Amino acid sequence: MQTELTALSVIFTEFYYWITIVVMFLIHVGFCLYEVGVSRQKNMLHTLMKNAMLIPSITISFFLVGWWIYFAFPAGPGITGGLASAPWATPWSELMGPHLGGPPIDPALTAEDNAAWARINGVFWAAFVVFAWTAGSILSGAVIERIRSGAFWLLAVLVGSFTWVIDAAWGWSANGWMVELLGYHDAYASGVIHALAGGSALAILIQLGPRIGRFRADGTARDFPPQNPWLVVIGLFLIYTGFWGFYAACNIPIVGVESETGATYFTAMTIYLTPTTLSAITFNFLLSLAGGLFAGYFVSKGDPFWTFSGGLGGVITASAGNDLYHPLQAFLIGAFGVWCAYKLHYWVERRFQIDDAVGAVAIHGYCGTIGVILCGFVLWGYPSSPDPTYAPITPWGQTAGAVIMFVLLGFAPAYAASWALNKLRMLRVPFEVERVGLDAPTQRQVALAVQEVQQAERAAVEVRS
Amino acid sequence: MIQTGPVSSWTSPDALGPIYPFVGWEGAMALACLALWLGWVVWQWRDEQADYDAAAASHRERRDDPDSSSGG
Repeated sequence: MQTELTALSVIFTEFYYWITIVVMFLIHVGFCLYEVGVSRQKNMLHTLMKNAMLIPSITISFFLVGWWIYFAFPAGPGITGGLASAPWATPWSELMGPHLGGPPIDPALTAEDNAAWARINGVFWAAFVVFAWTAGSILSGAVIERIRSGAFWLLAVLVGSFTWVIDAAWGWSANGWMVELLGYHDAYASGVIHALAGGSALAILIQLGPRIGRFRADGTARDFPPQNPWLVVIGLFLIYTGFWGFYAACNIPIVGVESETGATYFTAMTIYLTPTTLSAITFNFLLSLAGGLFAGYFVSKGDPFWTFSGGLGGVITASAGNDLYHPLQAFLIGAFGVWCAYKLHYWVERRFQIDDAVGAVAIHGYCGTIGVILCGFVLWGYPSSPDPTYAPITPWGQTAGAVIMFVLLGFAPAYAASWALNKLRMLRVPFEVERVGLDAPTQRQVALAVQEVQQAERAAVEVRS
Repeated sequence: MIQTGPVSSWTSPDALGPIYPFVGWEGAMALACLALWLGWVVWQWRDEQADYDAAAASHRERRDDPDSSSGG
């Protein structure tokens, strides 16, 4: 870093991402609280451990493979080019550890690049790891109270460290083939995280089947009320907070753009290197949240679970274009997505007996998919990239992108993996264990420990008297 | 004196690259961590299966025994 301006810009960017990561950690705290609040008392501990332990599973696999995939796969490989070189992202790279930016490690890296990656690599990597945890957590809520933990962690790694990061390379990077050929635009990840994870969750639910007693003989669903609605609400509010940090993390905070007029224009940028501002996305985050809350309340007639989930669904629907929408457009789009997702959720539940315990397929999968497609109509004709040879944003490009996210990279791989696990009888817990409760052995141990202490206390009282 | 890392002085930080110990062993460390993670996965799957087998047998026993109260 040869100049003070360059150093300031790089170190500010490092600090900026670090802050967003800390805020985004609240997404995972929120998911844990939310799922524990929804699950019945006999399954609470299993639910908590299942979600919490996806953190180490995804973190180590993302370090070993995921980060390299993001930089190596933008061209397919085999669609617009081959595997790209990414010497800073392999698990054996010097730049994947504490580094002060000294001599370049690879002839392809300049001294400036090397110095920048030494500062940015860890925080940029961590932001993507937290996105990967979120993708895993979206699956986690849908499948509670009957999936085996080992099977879940394997599926979470598939989505968090492979499929989501392949779609990010394709459609959420400045030189991804989907951006180049389809004009795909998904600034805050309606498709690349939410549609993909929702599609994956639907595939796993089909293989997993409903919880015991969920459906009546006539095919209608019995209600499983949340055992702790307050945890559910606090969890969702923490997810909102973390999601706000996620919006900031999706931006590059400061870049100097060489304008055609010859001036240098300093601005924040999206992942596509198109200009935006924190002000714009703050307007739109809150207005799409408001639209989702209104629609969730309206369509569910004031049900708290769907109202607060609706807020999240509103943001998810509008996220694809929230760098460019007017706030009132974000409001309307958020509301429309939540209304559609609610109706779709109950239609799918009745028609196919899909037991999605937290509505994850609806809020993430349907809202995300609808959001990607709507973005193609509302932003029709906008340039998708500063590169004028790239395709513009269109309804057909966005629809193709939505299919790639929800079906090709979301549903299909998760369906194949959960089908194989099911065939091996490794997907679902045994019937007796599910019926009695996944925490029953732990609860019995706790009861025995309490009983032993009470006996010891009684013995102590007798000795004293 | 034993020296595990490439840093012998902090007087010229601009000349320093990696500052962690055992530079050059990154590939071996990656393989070791991959093996550890895969080993943990295998151990966890076996442990979970053993737990479920024991729990299911216990639940069936308690259900079939009229003198025993059922759990859950």
